[in-house]
Amino acid sequence: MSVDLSQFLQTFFEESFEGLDTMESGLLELDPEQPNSETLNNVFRAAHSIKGGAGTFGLTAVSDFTHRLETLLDRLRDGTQSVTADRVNVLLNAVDCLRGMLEAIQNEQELDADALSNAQKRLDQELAAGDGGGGASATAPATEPATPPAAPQPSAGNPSPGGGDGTSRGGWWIRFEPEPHLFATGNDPRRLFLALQDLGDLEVECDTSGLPPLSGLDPETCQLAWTLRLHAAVEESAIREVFEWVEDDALIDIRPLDAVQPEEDSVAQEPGSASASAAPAPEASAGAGSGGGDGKGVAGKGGGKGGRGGGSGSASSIRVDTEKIDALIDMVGELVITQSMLSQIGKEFTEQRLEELQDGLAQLERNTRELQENVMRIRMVPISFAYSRLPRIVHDTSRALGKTVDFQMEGEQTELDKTVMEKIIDPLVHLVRNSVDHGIEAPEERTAAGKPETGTITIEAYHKGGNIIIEISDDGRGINRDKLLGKARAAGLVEDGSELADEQIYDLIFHPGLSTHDQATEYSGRGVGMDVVKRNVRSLSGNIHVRSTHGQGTTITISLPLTLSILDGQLFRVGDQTYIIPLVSVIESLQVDASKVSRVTSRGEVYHWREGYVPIVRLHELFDTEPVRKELAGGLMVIVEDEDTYLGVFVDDLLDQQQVVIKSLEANYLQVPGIAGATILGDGTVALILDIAGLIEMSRGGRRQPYIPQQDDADEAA
Amino acid sequence: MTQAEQPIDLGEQLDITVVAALKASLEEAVAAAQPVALNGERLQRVDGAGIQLLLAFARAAEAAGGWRWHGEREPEAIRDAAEQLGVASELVA
Amino acid sequence: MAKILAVDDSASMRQMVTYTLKQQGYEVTEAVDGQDALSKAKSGSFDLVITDVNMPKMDGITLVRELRGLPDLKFTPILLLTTESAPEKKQEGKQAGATGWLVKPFDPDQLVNTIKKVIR
Repeated sequence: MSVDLSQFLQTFFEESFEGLDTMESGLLELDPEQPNSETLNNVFRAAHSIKGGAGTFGLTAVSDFTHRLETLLDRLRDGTQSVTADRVNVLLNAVDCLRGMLEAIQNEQELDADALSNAQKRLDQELAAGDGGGGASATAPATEPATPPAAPQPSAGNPSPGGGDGTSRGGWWIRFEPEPHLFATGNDPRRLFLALQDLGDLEVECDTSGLPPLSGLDPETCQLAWTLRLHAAVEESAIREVFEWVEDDALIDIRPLDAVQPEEDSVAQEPGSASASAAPAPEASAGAGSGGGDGKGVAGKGGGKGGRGGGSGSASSIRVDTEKIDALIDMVGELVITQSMLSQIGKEFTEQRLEELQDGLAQLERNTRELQENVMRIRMVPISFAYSRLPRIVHDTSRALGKTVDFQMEGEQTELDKTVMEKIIDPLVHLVRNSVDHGIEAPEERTAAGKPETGTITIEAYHKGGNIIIEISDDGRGINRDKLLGKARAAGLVEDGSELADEQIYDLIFHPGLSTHDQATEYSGRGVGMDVVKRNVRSLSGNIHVRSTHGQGTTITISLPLTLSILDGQLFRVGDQTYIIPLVSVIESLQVDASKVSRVTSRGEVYHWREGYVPIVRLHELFDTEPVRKELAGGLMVIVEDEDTYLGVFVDDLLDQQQVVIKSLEANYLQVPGIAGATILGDGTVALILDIAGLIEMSRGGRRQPYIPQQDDADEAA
Repeated sequence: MTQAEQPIDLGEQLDITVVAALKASLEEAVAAAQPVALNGERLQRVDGAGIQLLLAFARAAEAAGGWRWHGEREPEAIRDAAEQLGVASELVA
Repeated sequence: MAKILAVDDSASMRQMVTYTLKQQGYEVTEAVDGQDALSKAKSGSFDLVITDVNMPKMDGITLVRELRGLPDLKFTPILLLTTESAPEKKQEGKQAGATGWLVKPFDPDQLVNTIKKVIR
């Protein structure tokens, strides 16, 4: 039989990376003074799994290294060695090293030999420290997995009573007296005897002396015993191996046949049987030894295949709960029923069946919607994947800066689209690092300010509407609003004399002109690259905002769509073009009351709405098209919102609400300000999806320059 | 010899999973002190526990009304198992 | 063909075991941990259970003990996948009622040979 083990490697890599994340977060959680045994168990289990898989799939270097790691973890777990901060760091370093090894194998690159030998040395030192003098046991387990899997050698622990370990040319005498509970372990004497028959000729003599009468027999217990004669020139260990599983469930006595007293051996030995059975013996013993010998060969082969197969399977994949898949299968089943019902109606359609047809179509619509929702759910993964790197970032950064930080993660199970999740990792890492670096003060500064020495950073995720909200808060020094504003004025970003709301001022930290300058960190308390963070968030159709109180802390809020590929939209028409507004942004639609329209010099047309004024956007002006209607009075307007900012979009006609699949405009054409993407409607025409945040920005920036592209490159601005 | 009214059907498996239930019906048959016939024609799987029960039954039945295999001779599955476990002499004709 | 319940928290190991056994014509049901296995064992019938030892939620040893408490699995062969670094698990497993074990790392041939020892 041949099974190509390399086909399982991709899965092995994925689960190993997850395992490494588990190990890392577990290690970071460990409190040296009170190590949590459950956490240690989880870390150990992850290492154990990686080692097992690596061994199975032939990645010997990985299993060898992981074995050391596992050994140290095992000692921490059983208390032989204590958990210390240094030891945790050695383990973290080993986790990094292991991740590097796996990545290198996956990408068919050279292993980083220096990092490996360094991490190995550090592990060995810790292991040696726990050996209390005898360095032997530290190196012994570490090198053990380097030798190929060996078959268990039960004979070592069971000194043979009659005749040593060697081969008995005359065959073997075996006394087998099972304990009554033998059957309860799922073992059957027949299986054992069959395995012995594979070794050579077998004579079986049943000892029924212990068998009670039928009425007194508990038929689920074994009351028989056997004397066996195996006429085969095999090693005793081959016989021991057959009985390996039942060693503790039976008396097993194995002796060379020629050493057994004639009175013990009631059956006279036929001279012919031994020689007759000599022929199959070599073949049989080769089979019996397959546990050890073959293992070597295949493990080696697997290693070779592993090296080749690793890189080819790097395609993105996703692990899905079987529940989600079962739900899909259910729904497809319903869809099939609906389809057959509809085709039935179609075959024999009469006007009388119109109602039936409508019912069927309604059912089809429901099926389709459910199926779509559930297919989307497949792509949803918990945000804990994105969280996983953060504790390490906090640990390393705070350690390097001599700060102490308590890092809290909440809402780990909040789900979002896998693509969104992957793309938000870097911004989150950046923000959390900034919080430690620039948000949290040094311990002495905190004490002086009357705060606890240990700073707190919290990351929280939750769903709100069709969005996932991620908040990163710290109780650090906060942003000095006045200094930030002063800096912005000095840079010419804010006109002298103009007043800005707090929110707008804090948003300045995302401005490339401020955040890319190193000096800005002094004022903003935030660090570099915030413009990049914002751009990343915006590219996911998300928004990012800052709230801060000087001296008390800062909260950064990121709002992201749950998925990038589908949205509920309100369709409307301007001229002959159909547009879509994301339904989450729509507040209300109204008929324009001319008396509520006014012109404000700096802001253009505004509409009096709910005790305030909202700017009016005429899409035909923005996109240079010909509308049906230019007169506001009596026309239709949709009030849209993004992050508490409102806008009135003037439209010709309101159409349906429906779910649409978003097609990237950027990928198919180019990025257009104010447009988030496009979709293809049921009739085949293309509709543009409005980017409300973008529209709001454009309306703020003045409509005289609507076509200036968004700044794509921070370098231009800096 | 009186004909047993109805052979006891051993079904497809005579193994550890059925011995407890089977023992009860075998005991009942033996208690009737009539010759018992066993039908093992459908047997697929026979294990050590099954053979052990059969052995205890055979001895009890010999002492009571006797027993035999339904059909020409013992079923093949029984013969294989009994030979392998070294009890063929008592269970095989 | 015989029905096998394969239990392992590692997806790659499950894939390997399932693939190998299916290639041999066995019918395989997968479970991701002891709890999952227990609920699947309760709702289906199996000729063999093959389980990893070290798993979250419910480990293999506990699973064996629980399975032995189910009428349908009282005598069903159960194989443990142990590791060479934890030989004591073999005995623990046996005491819990396991039939036997297979030591990791193993290759597909060893797996098939071992399984053929227990069911045919």
